[in-house]
Amino acid sequence: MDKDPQRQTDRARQRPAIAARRLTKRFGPIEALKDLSLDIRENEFFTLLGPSGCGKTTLLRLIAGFELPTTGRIELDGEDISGLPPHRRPVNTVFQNYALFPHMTVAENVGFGLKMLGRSRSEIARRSAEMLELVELGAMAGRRVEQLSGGQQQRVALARALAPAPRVLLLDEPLAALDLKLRKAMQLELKKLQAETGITFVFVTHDQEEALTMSDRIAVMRAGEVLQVGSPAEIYDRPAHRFVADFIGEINILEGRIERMSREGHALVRLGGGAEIEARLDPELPRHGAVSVAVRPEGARLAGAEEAATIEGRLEHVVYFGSGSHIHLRLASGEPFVLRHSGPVDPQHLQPGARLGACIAPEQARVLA
Amino acid sequence: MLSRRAGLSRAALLAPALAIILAVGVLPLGITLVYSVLTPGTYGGVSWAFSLDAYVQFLFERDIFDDTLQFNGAYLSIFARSIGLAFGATLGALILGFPTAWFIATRPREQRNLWLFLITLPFWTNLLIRTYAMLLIIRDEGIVNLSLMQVGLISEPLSILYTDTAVFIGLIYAYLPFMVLPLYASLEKIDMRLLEAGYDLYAGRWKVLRHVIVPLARPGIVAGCVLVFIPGLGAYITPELLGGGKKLMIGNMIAMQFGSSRNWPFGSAAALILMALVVLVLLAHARAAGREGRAHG
Repeated sequence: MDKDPQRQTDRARQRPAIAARRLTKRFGPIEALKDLSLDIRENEFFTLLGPSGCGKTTLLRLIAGFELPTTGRIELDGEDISGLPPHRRPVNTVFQNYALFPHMTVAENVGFGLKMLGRSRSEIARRSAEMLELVELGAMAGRRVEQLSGGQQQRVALARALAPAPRVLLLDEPLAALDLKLRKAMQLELKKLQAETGITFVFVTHDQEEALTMSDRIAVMRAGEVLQVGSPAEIYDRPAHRFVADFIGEINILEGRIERMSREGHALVRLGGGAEIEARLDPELPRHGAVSVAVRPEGARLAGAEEAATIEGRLEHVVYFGSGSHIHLRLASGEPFVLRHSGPVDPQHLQPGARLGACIAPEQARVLA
Repeated sequence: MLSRRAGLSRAALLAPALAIILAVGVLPLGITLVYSVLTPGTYGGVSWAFSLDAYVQFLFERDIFDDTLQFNGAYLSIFARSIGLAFGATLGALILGFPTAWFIATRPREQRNLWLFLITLPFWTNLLIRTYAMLLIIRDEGIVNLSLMQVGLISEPLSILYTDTAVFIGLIYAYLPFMVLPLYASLEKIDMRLLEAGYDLYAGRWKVLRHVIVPLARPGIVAGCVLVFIPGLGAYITPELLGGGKKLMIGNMIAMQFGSSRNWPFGSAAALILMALVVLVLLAHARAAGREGRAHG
């Protein structure tokens, strides 16, 4: 997130780099995008996040021009580009499987866009070398594409798409084919590259962790619709939708009914098992009726021996993952509940079936829309 | 023990194929080679006297009176004509075959076999019969001329039959499938996402064709051209029927030597020269393919 308030207001005044206006895309009977509107700001790392089939790749292909919208339009810097073919749009794509030209060298691949734009030989050579330097593949310029490793091909694809200096760079799950370690390294590198080039990145992924790590803002999509747009922290801490809460990170969702409001404006929710929990409630939401309360595993802690627990349950099992453990409980209502415990766990007290209490502060619980 | 047995069984397995290659490949070639250096018999066949006259005759004419050699370009020009026609037909087949192969390669997978089947359908009929059919179509009173006159585009029939044009059309018709099939095999392998990458990087349709599709289809283009050019060069039936036998191609000239001209040694020599030409084309192809292989490997 941008911390500088001056720049933030400047940014807000700017018109969006990409604006989707009431986009609909149908493939036969399937509606891939449903009346979707979205603003992508200048210079931001914007991520389209969602499960497969949510329409994120379709949206990317509409921006690139590989597909035309059924209805609605797409604007680039305020100009309607919906009808332009891909080669007339100043946007470039990093394809999921890189789609490098196998009959060209690395340098020829990188220079292809500039060559098609009719730039001079010397400019193409200089710019290609520059781009390869940027992705640290300067020594590979003369190699054939298939002589490179997957990670190197990934960088070539990146250099090729950046070489013509596009207004917007589109990335279609570019890290999906890499192994975990390389993927982590590339995540940071992509973020760095975006900051260095100042180009607007639109990144498509189904990996929520990737989205949280890299993005300035995230649009969470489901079934052709955008459910929520916001910074990673907003999406994580204040999911506007049950699906978003569930999709981003681990979360416990407990069903209950609002009993009354506390003086601080929190809702007091009676859970299925009879326990009462105090939870944040957005002012625009109704203050009564059946609701779901969301609690992150790290928002709950094990209750001490003398402490009044918010909820109680029986221990099912403990999953240890190095920096901490997840303690899985089964509540009286039958619902599962996971809490994160970072200290050492006394195995004596953690026999399966043991009764354990969990404390949940009101700020950590949230009523979902 | 075991290795000797393995060697024996290998020989036994190879024997039938070797026998066939010897009987129908090497042996006739040997006979042709031997015949080409003998003297023509008076009533056809050969008389067993060594002579290189057949090869000399290809380029020179022996004066009947003083035995001096005069350069004679007649046979050379027949070769040149044949090469020109075969080359033209190859080019024509490429121009027609490429869009066809592309069309098939871009159909849904389950439809492609049907289209390929349709491409190979002409092979079900003998080439001779198909060529006669072509003759009926393009003759002065054929469908082409009649319908063009019906429509009023022409008032006199176009004389296509018994011209180079007829041979050209006939060759393209006969060998088009040999162009389409290898082209299809190459085009079908192209990752269509590469085309999107091309469009994305500011290449329009024609630039994508030139810079992405054609280079990737090169093996198929080369194979298709070789497969059309070589049989086209030695074609016999097509020029015989559609060219009216007046305008010779190499195939007809060779046939003539064994027939009415009764000059078997010269026919054999011409056949060997044709073969040398074909080998040259194949070598060029092999070198091109080798370069391709190295470049990609």
